[in-house]
Amino acid sequence: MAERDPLEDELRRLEKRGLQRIQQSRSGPDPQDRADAAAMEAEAERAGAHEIAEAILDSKGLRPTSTGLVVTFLLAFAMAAGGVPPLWVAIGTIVALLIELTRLGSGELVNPGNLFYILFVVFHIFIDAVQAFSYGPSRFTALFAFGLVYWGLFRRNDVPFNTLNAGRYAGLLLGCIFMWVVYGFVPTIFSWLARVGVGQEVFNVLLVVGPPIVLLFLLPETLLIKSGKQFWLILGIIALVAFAYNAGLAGSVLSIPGLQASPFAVDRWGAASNFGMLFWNPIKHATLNFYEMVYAPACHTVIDGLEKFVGGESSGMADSLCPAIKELEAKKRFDANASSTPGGLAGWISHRIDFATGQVEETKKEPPGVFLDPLIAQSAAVEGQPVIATSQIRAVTLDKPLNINLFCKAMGEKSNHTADSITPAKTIVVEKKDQKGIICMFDSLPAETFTFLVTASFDFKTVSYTKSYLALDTEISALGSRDAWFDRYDITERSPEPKFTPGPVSMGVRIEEQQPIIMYPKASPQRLFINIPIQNAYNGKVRQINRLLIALPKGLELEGVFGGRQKGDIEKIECNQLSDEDRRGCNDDFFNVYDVVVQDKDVTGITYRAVATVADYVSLLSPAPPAAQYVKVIVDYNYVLEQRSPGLTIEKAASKGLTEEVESR
Amino acid sequence: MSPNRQGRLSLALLSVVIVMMVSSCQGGFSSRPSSVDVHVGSKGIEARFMPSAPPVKVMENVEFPVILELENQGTGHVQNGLILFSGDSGFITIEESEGSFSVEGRSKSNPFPGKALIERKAQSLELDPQRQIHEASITATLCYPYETKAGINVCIDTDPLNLALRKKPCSVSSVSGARGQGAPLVVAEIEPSMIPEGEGVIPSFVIRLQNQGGGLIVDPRKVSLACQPLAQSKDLFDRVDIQARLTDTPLVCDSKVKLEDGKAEVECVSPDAFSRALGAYMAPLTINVRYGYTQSLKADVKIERRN
Repeated sequence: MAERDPLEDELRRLEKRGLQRIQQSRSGPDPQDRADAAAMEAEAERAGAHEIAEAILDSKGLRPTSTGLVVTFLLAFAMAAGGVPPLWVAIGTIVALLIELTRLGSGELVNPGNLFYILFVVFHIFIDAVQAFSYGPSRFTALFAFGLVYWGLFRRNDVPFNTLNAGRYAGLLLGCIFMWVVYGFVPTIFSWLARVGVGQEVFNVLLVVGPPIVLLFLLPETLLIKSGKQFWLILGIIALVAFAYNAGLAGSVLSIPGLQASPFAVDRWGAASNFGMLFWNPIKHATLNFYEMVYAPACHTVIDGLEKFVGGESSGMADSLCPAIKELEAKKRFDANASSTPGGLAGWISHRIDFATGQVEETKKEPPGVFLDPLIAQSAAVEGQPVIATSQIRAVTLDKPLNINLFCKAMGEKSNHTADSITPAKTIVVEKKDQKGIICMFDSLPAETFTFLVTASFDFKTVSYTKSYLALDTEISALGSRDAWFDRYDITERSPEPKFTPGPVSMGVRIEEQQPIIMYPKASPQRLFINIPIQNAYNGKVRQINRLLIALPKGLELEGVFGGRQKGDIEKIECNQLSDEDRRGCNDDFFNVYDVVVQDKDVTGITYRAVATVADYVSLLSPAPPAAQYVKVIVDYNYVLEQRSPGLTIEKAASKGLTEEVESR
Repeated sequence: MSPNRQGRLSLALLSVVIVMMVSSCQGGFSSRPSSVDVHVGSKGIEARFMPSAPPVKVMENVEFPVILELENQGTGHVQNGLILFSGDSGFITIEESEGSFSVEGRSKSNPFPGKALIERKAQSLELDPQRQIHEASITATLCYPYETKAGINVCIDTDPLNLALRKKPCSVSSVSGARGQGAPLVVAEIEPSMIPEGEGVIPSFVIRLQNQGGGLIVDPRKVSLACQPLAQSKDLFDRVDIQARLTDTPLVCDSKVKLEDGKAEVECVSPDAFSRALGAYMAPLTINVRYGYTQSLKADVKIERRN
């Protein structure tokens, strides 16, 4: 008996389905439907039954979208919110993936839009290359290999796209498995499992980019592909991913320099991470409310009922099978953090933005800094006569004396004038703590309205540091979890916040790793990403950032610093090469110190990203657990404070003749 | 006064003195160690930093003492326990961060907890520029072998179906050990059962263990590894060795006992059947659990700048 051709079977199936659709439309009440059906019938005659099915799907706007993908995302969100047990998510996602694979395999989803899978692979290879294979060469090799395999199978020109074919089936299957299971899904789920477990908020690229991608799948993909504008689709996806990587993944060194000054930079209001929050909170609360109010009670009722039915007493099995309370511990910790910030979601987001730098450290005396009082000009003045404007400056420094340069200016509608004298001096020196009145004197000003300006510029240093706990992978493995490690060593501060000294800028130093940072000696070289966000904190300007001194614990080596305008190479130095002031607290026994000269001007906010390599994990974990290591950064910058007075109108002086007449009388 | 009368008076006085002496001695005996049950409670070694050692606040660049007081409230004797001290790297240094200690447990002959003081010198380091205060901490971690010994009378009923129609002096039921046995790992409950075997029974016991202390249980063969951060293996924690005897008969217990969430169930079974002719009677069940124990404690130290 001759074997049946599966292709023919498929065509017959499609033909049958297409003709049924046409039949339904022809007999339907809608004249438009009837007209469409007639057109399709004509097209069917031209193109054959297979195209009929395609035409029907297109005409009805029924180009299939990735339902499985949407389900996967929703499940992942639900679990990230801490409300659905990971096992359930895993089962649900496997089912969703099977649906997806089946649909892909059956040819339902075959269109050029699927090329974006390849683009994702290529993009990630690029990221790995930029990050100097920080995830290890194995990841790069795997990406490269499956990218090639997928591309090789998928791009077969000898096989038309719309023909069911074993090669294409295999290609799609491989691509899908590689992309969603090996590369995308598994690491994400593992990462979430780890993070949700300690109650830290979950931020990763999937959360940030996920919802827009879902929307992209649902809406424009169909339209763009139908209209042959795949190019724009591809461009949009690249832009979206680049945006997320620039701002969403704080640990990534891949950043677009132009975006640093934009509202889309890391920690700014437009950062992708903040958009992620918009999706995060509603989904989280909706899921958890459902969990608390519907799922957990129902689950308990069913399990307890079953146990009673079987004839036993409640054994507490429901508690383990309906882990509402346990799973919600993460949520409670999360909410405890969130509720400590005012203003709901907006407050939460702004809190995150503030949070990005760190906390001002406690001081026992008056905090260091420079403060300039508002400038007050005299209330009336006459042309040609001296005019003064006064202010007051207060300064506190702990280390070297502060040199403060003062400058006064009268800014008129027609002319600007620099002060003829400044009292006490144009440069004042503050040894420790001082408070001085400032008098800006203008010998003569023309008759017009002036605004007076006083500026105080000075060099200042801010120190930021962060504590990090380090643990060996085998110890975490033996204890079972990070929380168990913290419990073992009686540590309650599980996410130490960066701190910085008071001054004109706020600053944070943060290793972008969950605590305790796990050391993997067998997977060396291990890299750590350190974020150093700096933001203007006073009502002035950071005129220029000159230098960063980065002190890493012994055992960590600095590889590079990104995100700023660097001048020259990074230099590893010893403490005795530093100035007396900077040498304070520097200890070669405990720290590797790096001098990074930068030239970033007029900064309102900037984030430097440092990449460090674990060179000697024994040093990092010594002398005894729990290893609490510090990363310290001293930033050296020039700051300008300014104050302006309200406008002062200089009156015209009386004419000379009239003046003489008055005097003679 | 006649000598006779004087003699009687002397005798009376002597009697009073003797009675007083004896009664005072009896007063002492009434609190004799033998009357104190040391095998209760769930405390092992209690550790605490001495007040002001370390001080709550120190200036930068000064030496200060760190003294740890160990008090063995349990009944296990600890020989060559390990201790590790660690401080914030770059802010505090501690001399001899590793060391050993020994501390006796309570016993019938000496019901008072053994004590040990461990002293170290620590040094605060200079603070960074612009900084006035640093909040540091010092952690001490102890790793030591320990054991729990429990002696509990259980009812052995060789005729659970009462075929002999005899009145039984006891009945088989669970025995609670929730009061503890003078160690952090507590034999919380013993659930006996008599498994009919031929003309008798095989006694079997489910022994429930619970870690009621604040530390972690460590495999007794790997105690020192728990205090070596670079040499920890996967099966280091929550492992115990258990031995049990019913009167003089060693029972066969599960060989690999692992605690989950601080609890474990171990089944110990008699290797031989007990004849029905023995009837029902009370017998001592002796349980000996060997394990290592590790615990940590932390003290905060605020380092202040000098000027």
